Amino acid sequence: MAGTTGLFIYWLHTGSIWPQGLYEKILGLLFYMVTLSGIIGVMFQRVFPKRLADTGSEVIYERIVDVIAAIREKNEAAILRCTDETGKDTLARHYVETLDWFFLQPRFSFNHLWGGRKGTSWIEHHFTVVRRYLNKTECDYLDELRNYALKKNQIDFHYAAQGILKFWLFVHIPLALAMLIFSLWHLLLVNVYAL
Amino acid sequence: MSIDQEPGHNPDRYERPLSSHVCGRNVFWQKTCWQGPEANGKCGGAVSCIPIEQNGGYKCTRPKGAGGSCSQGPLPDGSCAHIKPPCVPKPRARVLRRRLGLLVVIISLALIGALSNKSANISSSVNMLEPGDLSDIHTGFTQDKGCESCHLNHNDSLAGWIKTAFTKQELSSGCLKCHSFNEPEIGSHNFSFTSSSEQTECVSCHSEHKGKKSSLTDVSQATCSNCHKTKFDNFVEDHPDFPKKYPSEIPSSIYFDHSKHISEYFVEPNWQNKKNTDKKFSELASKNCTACHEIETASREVKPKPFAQICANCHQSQIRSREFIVMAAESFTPVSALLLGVVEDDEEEDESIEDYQQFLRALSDDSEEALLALAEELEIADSLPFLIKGLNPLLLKNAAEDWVKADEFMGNEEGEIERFGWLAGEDGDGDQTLRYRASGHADPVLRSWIELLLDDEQMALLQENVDSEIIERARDYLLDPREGPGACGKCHGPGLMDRIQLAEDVSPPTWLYRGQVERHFSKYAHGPHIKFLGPEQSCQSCHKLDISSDYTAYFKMENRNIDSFVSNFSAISKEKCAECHQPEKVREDCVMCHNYHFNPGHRETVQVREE
Repeated sequence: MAGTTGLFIYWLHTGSIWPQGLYEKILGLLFYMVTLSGIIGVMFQRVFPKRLADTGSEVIYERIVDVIAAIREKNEAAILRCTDETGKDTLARHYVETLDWFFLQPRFSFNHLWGGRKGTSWIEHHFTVVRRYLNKTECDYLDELRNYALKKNQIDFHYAAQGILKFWLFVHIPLALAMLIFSLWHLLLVNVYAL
Repeated sequence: MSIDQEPGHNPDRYERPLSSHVCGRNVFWQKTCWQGPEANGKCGGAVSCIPIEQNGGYKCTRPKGAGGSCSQGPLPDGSCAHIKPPCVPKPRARVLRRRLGLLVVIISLALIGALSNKSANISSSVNMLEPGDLSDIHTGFTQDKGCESCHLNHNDSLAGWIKTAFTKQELSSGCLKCHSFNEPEIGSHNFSFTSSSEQTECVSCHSEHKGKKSSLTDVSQATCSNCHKTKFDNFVEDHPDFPKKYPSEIPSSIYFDHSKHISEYFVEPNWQNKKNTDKKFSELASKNCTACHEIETASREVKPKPFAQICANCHQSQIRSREFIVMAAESFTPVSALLLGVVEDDEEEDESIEDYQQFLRALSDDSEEALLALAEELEIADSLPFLIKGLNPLLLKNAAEDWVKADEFMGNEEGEIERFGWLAGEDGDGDQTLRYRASGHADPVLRSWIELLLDDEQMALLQENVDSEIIERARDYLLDPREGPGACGKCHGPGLMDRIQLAEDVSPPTWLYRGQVERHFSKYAHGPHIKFLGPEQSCQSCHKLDISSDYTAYFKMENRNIDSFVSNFSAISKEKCAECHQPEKVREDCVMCHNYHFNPGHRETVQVREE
């Protein structure tokens, strides 16, 4: 709100939308970029925390690597048990050839940000397609893997949403710092040249 | 349910959020080690533990959270049996942000330092001290000294700049090198108000460096509101009422009764009874103001057309019919009494008669020499050639010769009269006189006599020799509206005689059109209004003829009081202007009708440069 009000104060102050001199143009550009990134940041802060809360789960951003690694370990343990128990490697091959890609790291980040369901669709497709080649015991293990996959998909959303909240600061703070430096110089120039 | 509590998560593990690095295995999405990076940013997980010496051997120290003591135990040399290749720890996002911020600060300062160049070493297009192009009008004035022409501290050091930033600048003094205004030049409105007067700066309202085509005189409503605290949202509701007689508070310099002309002189059948009238003109003038007023040059005032175009048809004959009696053979006239310094009551005295006879004798001997001697005595010798322009000295000499002998002068030839205007001999009343017949409008001889008698400086000199009553009598004779020679006073009386207080000055005598009260802080242009409404409609939409007003009353007064003057037209109210000047129609901001400056101009140095 304060940032948006600042925009009107800026226009009132300069008397125009776009200034004339190079220095003022840089300062004006920085101001607009800080304002724009600020507005986008506010939007992020309004949207993503709510959506994160709606998932019903919590995870610290820095621990996501370990949580995914732990899920991966559990998957691999389940596959080994399945192979030992059934003497068949159908599920193991499917995991190595297809599912492993998904469990390696967060996937579908942009789609998660836009609220898409690409991750869920991917899981449903790749778990359904192999089910017809499995016997009952293998299907039980497949269900176990599917639960882990859905959990991992949720973590992927946490990674994308928390990541964008952190990445936004990489844009807004440096721009604000640059604007502050240029504003101080502007203040000095104005007092020397105009007031 | 928290994902943190899922299998694989150890709630005892501390994430070290303040450490500067995270495990490098993060990059490959591998499981991070429990030790994490060391404080110096190096990998801390190359071994699972650091065994301790105990009972002559070594004991594994791997904590429970990381799996507890390993089955192999430490190697015989006391090192850990679980050796992993070290990772390359990565900086945390917080550290990266700090580094990026520092980089941006450095780049910003470097940019400012590199591109804020006071000399002309770098192009103005990339110079950060270049605040934008000057307006076209000011571009030439910075050619010699550059920025220092206006910004006196431009060449100071950075320390000087910082010091300057905390002291008040005298920017207006730079503007006043070229621009001049009424004193006080940096007082509000360049005027000494009795109520309050504040010091202002040029930059309070005018902004330079807005581009070559920018206008420095475009001032917003908000700028006026900086000082004028009275709320002003729109003209209709917030503007004060116009003066009671606006815009005709004072009589113009020419006596002209609009009502009389429009309702009588220009209307049939009256015009038919007059001589030298023009039916076509009368018909036009009775309906259309533009018959007499010059709309092509309309500005604040729409001045009347020249005498020859609009007045001469009816009034030219009046000028020629009223002769200027300079002197008579047997008595004093107002002018001869002035020249000889005789008051009206003394005219019949023997001494006065003797003086007059002596003057006639002098004229009969040498008229030129006699007049010159008299003019020198009265200190009007410089004006004499103009006062008697066209007078044949021989005519005066011959007439004087006859008058001294108490004979009648038989007069001059008619052709001579037509050519020079001077006559001597019997006049219409049967008296022997020397007289002058004006050639037409703006006759030079009559103008010279009237201007002589209205010249304060000349009159001050004359009054040393002549009683002021004599001067008054001569002046009254010359400017008498009914009988005065050339009928000058009939129309020019107000302009020549009325001394009206105009703002700070008193109006000087003038033959020319004077118009209305000077309004230094307001402006009006008839041109656009006439263009918009059309010449037939525009005048009467605002200037309503008021037949009932007594225009002549003021001029008949012996001691004229300006408050008693009424115009031929009804006053214009602000509601009339507001018919168009209102929101969604025509502009109604302050500077549309008001000027800020009083007597704006340029100093001589600029005028020379402009030339």
